Amino acid sequence: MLQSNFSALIDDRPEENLFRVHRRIYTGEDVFAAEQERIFEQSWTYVCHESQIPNPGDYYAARLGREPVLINRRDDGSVGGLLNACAHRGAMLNPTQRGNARMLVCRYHGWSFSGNDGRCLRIKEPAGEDPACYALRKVAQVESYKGFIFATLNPDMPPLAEHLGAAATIIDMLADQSPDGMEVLPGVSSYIVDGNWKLQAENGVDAYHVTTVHRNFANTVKRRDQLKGNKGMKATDIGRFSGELANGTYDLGHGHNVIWTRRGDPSAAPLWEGKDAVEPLVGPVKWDWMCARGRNLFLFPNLFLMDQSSTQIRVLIPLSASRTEVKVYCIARKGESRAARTARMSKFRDFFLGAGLATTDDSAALEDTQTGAHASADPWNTFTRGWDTHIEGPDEEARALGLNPVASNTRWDPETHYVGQYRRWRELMSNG
Amino acid sequence: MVEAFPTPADQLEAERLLYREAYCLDTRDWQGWLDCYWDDATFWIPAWASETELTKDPEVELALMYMPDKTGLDDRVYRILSRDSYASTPMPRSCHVIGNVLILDGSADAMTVAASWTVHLYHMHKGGRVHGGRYEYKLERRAGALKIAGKKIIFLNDKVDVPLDVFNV
Repeated sequence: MLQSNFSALIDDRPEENLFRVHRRIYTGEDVFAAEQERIFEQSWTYVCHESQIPNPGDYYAARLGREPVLINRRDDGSVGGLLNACAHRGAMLNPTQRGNARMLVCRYHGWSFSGNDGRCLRIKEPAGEDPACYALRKVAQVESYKGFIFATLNPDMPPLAEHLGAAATIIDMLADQSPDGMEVLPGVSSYIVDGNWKLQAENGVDAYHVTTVHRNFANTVKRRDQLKGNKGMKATDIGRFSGELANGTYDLGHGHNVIWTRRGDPSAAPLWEGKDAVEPLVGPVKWDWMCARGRNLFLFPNLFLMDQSSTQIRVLIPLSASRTEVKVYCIARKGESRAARTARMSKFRDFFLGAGLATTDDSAALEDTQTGAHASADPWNTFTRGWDTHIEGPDEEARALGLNPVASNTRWDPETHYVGQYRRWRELMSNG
Repeated sequence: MVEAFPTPADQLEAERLLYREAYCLDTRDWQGWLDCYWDDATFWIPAWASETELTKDPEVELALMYMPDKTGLDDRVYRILSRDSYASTPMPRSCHVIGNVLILDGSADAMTVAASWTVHLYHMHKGGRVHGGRYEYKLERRAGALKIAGKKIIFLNDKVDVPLDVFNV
């Protein structure tokens, strides 16, 4: 198949309510290489949270596609980014995940650069080279939306606000949970799944698997809550898993989407303690979305913001067509009580980690899906579920919220929202 | 003359308990494994906070696992025995090797014990893996029996590509 014809891997026939994806998009190394160039090195992608670089000189290492970058807090308080490669012979400048560096000194030949703006400050034993002629290249665009920092190597990408579009309303539901702001808690967990990154992108907004893959999780925590008599903040509120509470899905445009479900018991929500402080600031409709509903938000191409039993930032890092690293962080309300944070963290460990009671089961299911994707005699994965409850534009719930999605679904377990995800993929992949 | 703690008998008793726990895990004797722990025992695998530091407070910082009491271990056994966990069916095989068992502190009735560990595991689709690290145990004698009152597992890896569970750390 020609490189220029990746769009043929998507079989999109809206007049027939038919949407299929060719399994080669999960297995082809040529597809993966093109994705790195056309998506991850072009689009806005999430890099880190502002709370991870609070002070001038702080940096956080990330990758934009294959390119190593340092996202930094500059002297004027703004966030920026520098390529993490020496302007001399290209050695990665800083080997650590995070830290504070007013000066970046290359460990290979000793050239020094400003950690603020990348200017070359000193060349070791110069033999005619002029520091003024060298600098670490800046990342073309770095922007924060309410603490969540995104970056792109493409100077012509439209601004972040345009990229996020309607999804910003859903980000607000997490970002606005404390008048003091949100913070990423210490510690990161990273796990590698032998599966394509798009299987991860599908899975995080796939409610359809919950009653099979996570039946075991639901039974385990239900049993524990009963044995220990857990109530309120301590209980896991497993009612969300049954699919019997009101729920829905939005295609938010630009490949972003969200699934939501009402909580059986809002007092089990991680935000509950903030009721008195936050509800008056946001009003009853937004408060209901923030506290009384669980939400999984996918921001194309590499970020999930999950607010369920606990609150999670999940970052996808594609390693090859068949291998993806997933980094998970717990994000919490600044200034919350120790009891609330302990409950949040306990429920985070239960579900979200590569050592947890649920994410491990997702990973195993995705690995089987990756293996099955090689079954080429029957090459199409179909996304057919939920067209009967599909609504173009906003449904009543979205209108009440002031949200203007591309499409709505009055169920949380359809497959209609993947259409937007893959149309965005096709759009970016066509810019070769 | 009273021998100074730890005596060879203390060392032997501590080693036997650590070896028994590992044997129970590797032979899937789940009840035998749970019997190695007191009901209020903690079980903790801290996450890495940086290249060189572990998280310090399991309640409010990230931990890969933290069970404040034995019911968390019982959850794991329930999950495995249900045969309904995608990741645990079929069960990966595992083999613990424990060495460098060193009593650091305490008394014959309440001791802190360090040990080094490796687990060789075999995952049906991925093949063999080796995990390794250190254990820090609190062992306590109550009503004559020495059991685990706390276990902290220092796990060397930042990243893993197999599901972590109680039997492969």
